[in-house]
Amino acid sequence: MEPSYREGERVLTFNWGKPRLGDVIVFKQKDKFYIKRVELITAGKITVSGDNKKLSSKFKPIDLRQVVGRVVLKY
Amino acid sequence: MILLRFIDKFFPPNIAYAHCDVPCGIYDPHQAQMAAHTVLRMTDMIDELQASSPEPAFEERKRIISQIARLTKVKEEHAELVKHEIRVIWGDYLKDEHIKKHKTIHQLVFSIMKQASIARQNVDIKAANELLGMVQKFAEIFWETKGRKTQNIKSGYPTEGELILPQ
Repeated sequence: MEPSYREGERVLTFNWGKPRLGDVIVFKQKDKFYIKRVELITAGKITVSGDNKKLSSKFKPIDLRQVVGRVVLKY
Repeated sequence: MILLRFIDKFFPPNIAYAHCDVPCGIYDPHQAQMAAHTVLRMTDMIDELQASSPEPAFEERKRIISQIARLTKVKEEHAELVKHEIRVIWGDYLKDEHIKKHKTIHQLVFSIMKQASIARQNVDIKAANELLGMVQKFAEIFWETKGRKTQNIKSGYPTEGELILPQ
């Protein structure tokens, strides 16, 4: 997620409200948390992508219920 | 901020990853090319094996059979390695924009899978050479997706073939 978020930085997430396009979200997949940006929202599915397009790995669209929260603060 | 860091000492935050695998973004068709050269070399070596007579002695037969078994094993393994390496780049690295630009890539990957099997099943130098050619074509396309021009370098291997490397 560089340059927006670098390794070791901490984020605060809120889980009220639905994610919107461009939001950075934290979601859970196979017991691990991931941080990505919302690229597309379609019928309960969210397509996410990393800001660092050269290195970012591709995820299949995730379910809305996998979302842990929207990033509201980096500290 | 200081308050949040202080709270973190008592309630450590979870780790959120930005990548699904490590090392992410590290792809290179070099290993596939080396494996294809190995298939060709093993095919060559099997093809060159000769007995001293039409009915060689038992000891000589044992030696030849042992040698063929070893060469075949390596040929099998490296043909499979070609398939594995190409599949990983195709499945994990290539993205929609690459496919749109290089419309033949799916067919090329399919052909490599089939050709690697043919090279495994036979002692066929022509088939092994064709496999190498396909893998080299794949390497050219791979580097093109990264905006890199390629050059044909003499491999220095006994196959006397070339490697496609980025300039």
